[in-house]
Amino acid sequence: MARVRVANLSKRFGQTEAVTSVHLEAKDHEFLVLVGPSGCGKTTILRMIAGLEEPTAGDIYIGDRRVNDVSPKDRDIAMVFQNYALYPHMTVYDNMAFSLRLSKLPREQIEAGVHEAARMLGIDELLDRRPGQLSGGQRQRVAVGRAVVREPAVFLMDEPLSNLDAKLRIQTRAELIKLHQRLGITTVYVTHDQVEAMTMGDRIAVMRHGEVQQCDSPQAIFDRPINRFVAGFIGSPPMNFIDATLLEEDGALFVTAPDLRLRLPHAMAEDEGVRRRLGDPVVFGIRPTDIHDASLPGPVSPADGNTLNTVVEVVEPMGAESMVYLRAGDHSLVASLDSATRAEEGRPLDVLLNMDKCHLFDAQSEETIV
Amino acid sequence: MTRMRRLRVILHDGLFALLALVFMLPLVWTAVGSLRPGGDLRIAPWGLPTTLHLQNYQAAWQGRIGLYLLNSTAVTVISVVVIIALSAPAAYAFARLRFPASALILGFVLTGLLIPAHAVLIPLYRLNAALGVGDYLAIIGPYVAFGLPLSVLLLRAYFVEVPAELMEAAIIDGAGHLRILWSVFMPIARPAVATVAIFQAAWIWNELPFALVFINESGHYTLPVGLLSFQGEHIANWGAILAGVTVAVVPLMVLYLLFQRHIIRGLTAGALK
Repeated sequence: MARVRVANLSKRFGQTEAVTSVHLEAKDHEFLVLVGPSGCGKTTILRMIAGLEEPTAGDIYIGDRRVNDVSPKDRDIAMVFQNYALYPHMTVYDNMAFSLRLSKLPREQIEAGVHEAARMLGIDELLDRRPGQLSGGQRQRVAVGRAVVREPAVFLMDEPLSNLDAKLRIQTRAELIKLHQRLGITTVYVTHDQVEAMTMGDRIAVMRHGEVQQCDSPQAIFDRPINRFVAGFIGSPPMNFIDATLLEEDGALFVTAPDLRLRLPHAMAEDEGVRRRLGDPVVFGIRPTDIHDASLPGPVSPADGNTLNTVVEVVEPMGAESMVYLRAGDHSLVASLDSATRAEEGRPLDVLLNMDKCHLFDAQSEETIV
Repeated sequence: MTRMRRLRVILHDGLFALLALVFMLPLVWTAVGSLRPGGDLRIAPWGLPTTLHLQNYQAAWQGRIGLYLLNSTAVTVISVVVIIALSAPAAYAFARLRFPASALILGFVLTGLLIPAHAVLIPLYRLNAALGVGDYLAIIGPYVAFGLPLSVLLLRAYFVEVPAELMEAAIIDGAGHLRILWSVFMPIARPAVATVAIFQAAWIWNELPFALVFINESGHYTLPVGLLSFQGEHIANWGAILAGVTVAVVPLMVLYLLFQRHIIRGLTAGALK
């Protein structure tokens, strides 16, 4: 097992800066997820760790060894590709045994290794088949099996679930988590799916424009996003944002915008950073789960400055809860309401905002204020 | 099916049947002619055989057609194997490796397609003489050289289509480029390799100018040169010639029929994703 560390890592393709001065570390046994929108540089980082791309600058360490000049095969890694990259002319057995044969391991050892990995992943019945004779889920398992059989120090996974249908993706997600718990191999996992990142990662690195925006535990990133981008990217449905101004009235602080006047809780109002921005434009953020139907009992009681009079635009019943799209003047909001809500399209609905959970961002820098 | 549509189908199929007939006619005429006495051929070239006159094949055999067939097979097999052995690594490099001036070098290799064989006949003759190379080696060298550009072009087109992840997976698995070419790309590119093999085999099998000029020893003649020897200055044994041509065509036709599915896939590589 080993930790993976990249320091000051950059990659430039011609004039395009794909990765800019990234510092990251996946600790020993850790499952680190790189998440971000398409083109944010997450796959490029993974490929540089694998040795498939050469960094323009910076260092890559696997364990305590600097591996910039080490060939991919000698980095003690195994990679699972997005499209699985199984050799189409080889059987499942040969696909899994290929790397072991190249390592010139004895035949008995190769057989034992392949069969053990195949049993672990439930693909021992498929060893004689070719990839073309397998379903998407089976191919995905074979791809993982090919990585597992090498017993590497580090797993690198590049969106391995993105070609699976929704149901299979959830199932395979759980299997990968179990596999990681069982093997404990340090894993760097790339995805653009924030749900995948939240559910799988010990820690998540949220990326944008080739830079790591924030790297922390899933809950910490959800609760304390470092900026508006992270706040909007993590969480489903995404956080609601409203452009507003901070004003003080009778000693209390209010977030105000046309048709909107919300009172900040005392702890926030006392915050030095918040007070510094009095009169300035800010971005008010609230997660859909922190908006509640005022007519239903809930964690928030009606008070001055936490109620919004809205009109319901769309209701999406989800079973346990309902996604309700609301309009308050010019502002659009999404709320995840209890399924008992009587929200009806076109009808008014009063909602309560859990202001203790609200977020404030600087309108210009988009950094979190509180 | 409406009447109009049926008419269109009949016209369409009829046109293609006619075209097939036009292409098949020389082959059929050759095969039929090889079974008729030489005298009959001169009197009624388009006539059908009244009896099976197998003496033409006997005459061809006595004219050492068997030896020529063997020579042609050896020259063709060796040339095609060398062409594939050289063009596959080159095509892999042009398709998959990044190196300076690769496009320029590829362009240079492909200019070989533009060189007419006849233009280099005399320089090559002199070169062979200077090197002291004769007969088989003297023709295999030029066959390989002239075969390389098209082979590189076809194989490269196929290799470019192989997903990059396959190569990367093999690199991480510990394979070097030669291993990747041999164990991953070549098996996947079987249609393209078959196409190259058939194209080159057909050309080399039928090639006359190099063989005629460079082969001195009559026991080393390939089929086209050997068949020429059936034709004297004033007299030609047309029956034996047609029998020889029929024998010469059969191996290629069998080869083509065996691999035609691969050839179509090889030629359309890159046309569709």
